[in-house]
Amino acid sequence: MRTYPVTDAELAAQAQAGSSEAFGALVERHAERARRVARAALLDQHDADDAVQDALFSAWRALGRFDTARPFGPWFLRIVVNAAADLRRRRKLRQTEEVPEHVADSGPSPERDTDRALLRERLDRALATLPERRRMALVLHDAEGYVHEEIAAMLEVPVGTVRSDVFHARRAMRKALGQSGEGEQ
Amino acid sequence: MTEMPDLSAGRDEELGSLLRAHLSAPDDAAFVARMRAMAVTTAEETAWRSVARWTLPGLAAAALLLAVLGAALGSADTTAVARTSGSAAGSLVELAGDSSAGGSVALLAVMTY
Repeated sequence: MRTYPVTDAELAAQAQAGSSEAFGALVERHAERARRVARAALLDQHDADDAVQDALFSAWRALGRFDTARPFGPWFLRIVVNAAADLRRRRKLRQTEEVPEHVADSGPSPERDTDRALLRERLDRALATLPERRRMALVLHDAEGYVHEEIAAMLEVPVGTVRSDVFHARRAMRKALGQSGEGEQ
Repeated sequence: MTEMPDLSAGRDEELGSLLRAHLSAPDDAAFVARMRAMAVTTAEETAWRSVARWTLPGLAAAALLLAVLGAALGSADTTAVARTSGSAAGSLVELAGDSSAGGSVALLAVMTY
């Protein structure tokens, strides 16, 4: 990935002034994280990619209203979260609490006999059993490093709710994974 | 999985890195490059659409303004020429009668005008 000598705020200001390259650089910086967050929301890579793409268009349209004194990442991720919710509504996706078909499928897999494949399957299943808001709070906090206040703004819920969601999600994940989580990486 | 202080502001780094790895995809780099290109194209297209949106009405307004100004100036010129032509003719007669070099230059200038 390229490195840029300028901050997000500077890039955002340039993009607001009409620089397409600056907007491209901003998206490049945040797309990977956005993809992970969208996947956590939708539990499907293809849908996640569509949601990030939708978010990109929405972000460009809303960029004029972005306050460059605030961090760009949480602002963009909030758009990603909303885009994921919109996509789910449009496609009438199944309830997130339901285990996805590819996770529930117990058929043969080339990776099935490996520890990594088993762990991935457990993670998929564990994430899928979490209510979406808890899942998002957990991923945004523990995986992406946002603080409770930022997550509360992204998910449009009180900070206390985020704290509670992270707590319950961690407990559920620990229960689902047991000690099997150790070793991946 | 390590025990962590629940409801604290601290992150569970181990669970976090596990989730990050799980939610990442092998083609993340290609995806990022694709999104970047799409972002640049979107911004450029929007700029051109904006230009195109204002160009036609702008040109039409400019053409209308020029037409109005042209008509107004044309009308003013005709009036001014008509008003000055009588006195100019008198001056020409006077200048023609003047045999000095200065008079010839002045006559030439008036004729040029």
